[in-house]
Amino acid sequence: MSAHTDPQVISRSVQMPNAFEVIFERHFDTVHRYVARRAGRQRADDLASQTFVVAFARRASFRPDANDARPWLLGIATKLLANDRRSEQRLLETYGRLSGDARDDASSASDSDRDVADALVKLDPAQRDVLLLHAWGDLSYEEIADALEIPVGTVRSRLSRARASLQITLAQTPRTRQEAS
Amino acid sequence: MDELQQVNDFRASEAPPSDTARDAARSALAGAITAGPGRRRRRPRARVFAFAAAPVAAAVILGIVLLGSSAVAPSPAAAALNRLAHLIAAQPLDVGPGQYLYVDSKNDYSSFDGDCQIVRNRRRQIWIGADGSGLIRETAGPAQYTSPADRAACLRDDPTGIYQSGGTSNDWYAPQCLSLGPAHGDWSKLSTDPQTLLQQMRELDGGLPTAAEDFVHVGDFLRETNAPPDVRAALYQAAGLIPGVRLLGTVQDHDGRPGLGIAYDNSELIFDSQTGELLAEQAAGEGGYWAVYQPEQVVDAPPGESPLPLTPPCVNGGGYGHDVPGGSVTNGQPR
Repeated sequence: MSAHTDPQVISRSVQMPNAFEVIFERHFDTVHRYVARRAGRQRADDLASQTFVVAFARRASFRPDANDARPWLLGIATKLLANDRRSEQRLLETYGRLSGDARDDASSASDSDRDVADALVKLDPAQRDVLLLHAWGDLSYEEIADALEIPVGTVRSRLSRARASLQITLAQTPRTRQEAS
Repeated sequence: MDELQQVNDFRASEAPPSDTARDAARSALAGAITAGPGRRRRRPRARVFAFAAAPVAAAVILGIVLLGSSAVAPSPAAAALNRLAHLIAAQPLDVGPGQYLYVDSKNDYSSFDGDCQIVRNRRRQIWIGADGSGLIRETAGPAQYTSPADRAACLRDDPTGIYQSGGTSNDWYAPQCLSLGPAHGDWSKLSTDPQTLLQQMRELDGGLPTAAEDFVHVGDFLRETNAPPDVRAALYQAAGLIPGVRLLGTVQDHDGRPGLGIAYDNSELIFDSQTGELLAEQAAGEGGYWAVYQPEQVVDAPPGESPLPLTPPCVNGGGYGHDVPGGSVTNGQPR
């Protein structure tokens, strides 16, 4: 595999397009996993693929001072997800229902999953994007700002509000009440 | 457990993508790469190797190359490429400060957008300055469809037909956005030893370590570059080392011009037998294509002026694209 950094590879791919395949090999699994956690595997197959086609088309505008293509790719994936909110919504609702149906005899993890799904579905989508890029995409505040093309201050406030909302929602769930007691 | 940890645990056991999904995504990307503005053609892949196997495959192929070059006489293709290398080595193409490499070509590269496949003829003109600034002008004819079903799919995706109509685009680039070759046009980093060059092309151009890819790399390094004569000669000789490359003899390009054809599988590179220059590329059969090139020239300026300043320059070849009527301007100025 190429020993060159992501910016070097992407820069070269402007004139030698197939160099972009290196970016695919490096990051496809990460992007797929992020999208699959948000919208399910079936949608992830399409959206992760689209992410790389879109990224390839926009490769000339990749920020040259970025260290790593991952935030950029996850940002594109997040914007594609935003066009398809219903998939994520459906998954979270279904997930909540499925875990709920099995709650009586399911493991505590199923309860926790149901609670988290319920809490996530209630979040403002913009806050959810920031939260999940941080939690699942493992991006720093600055990287999220780059990925979503928003100020770092906006990232901080959205993340803060998202966590506050989660705390409140999770505190109201049976599972968390049980833990607290 | 805090709320962030609970979110971290949610769906944390999501499995990696299936091989089928990964291969389909690779194919979609390869389609986009193929459909891109006129840089290269790729053969469809019947099978994609796992990347972990790459070093082994590379060693096997290079082993064959080394064995082939030392144990047997040059093939007819290698002999012909050596002769072309000798011709091209006598023709330097120096792009001095303030000057531009100009390449005028035509092709029939197809575009894919979802289920919509469009084939159309394009003229591509590129001016690449010594400073990496320049202009890419593409003039596309109206879309041609491969079947009525294809046409219906395209109109469903794009009811207005804007994407499918022809037209001219002018895409301007600030200094350091384009380059005259790999490694930011620094050809001194490339070996003039053909075997070493084959490996360097793999590292620089990406793709799979296969003979088919090696043949594609040769085209990539010749097209719209100012490779110095010794490197260009080494590229020809490197092509002669690729197992499976064969000599077709005199063939005609899409414009009916005769040239010396060198092929790998159904992909052909056609060279001017008098000057050694790359004349054309083409492939027959499914996924077929053609591209024809006029001789490369060195000129003093691209035509016209950019509608936006070509400052600041790009950094490491990367910049920000700004849409303007009829095209775009890429420079180092964030949007």
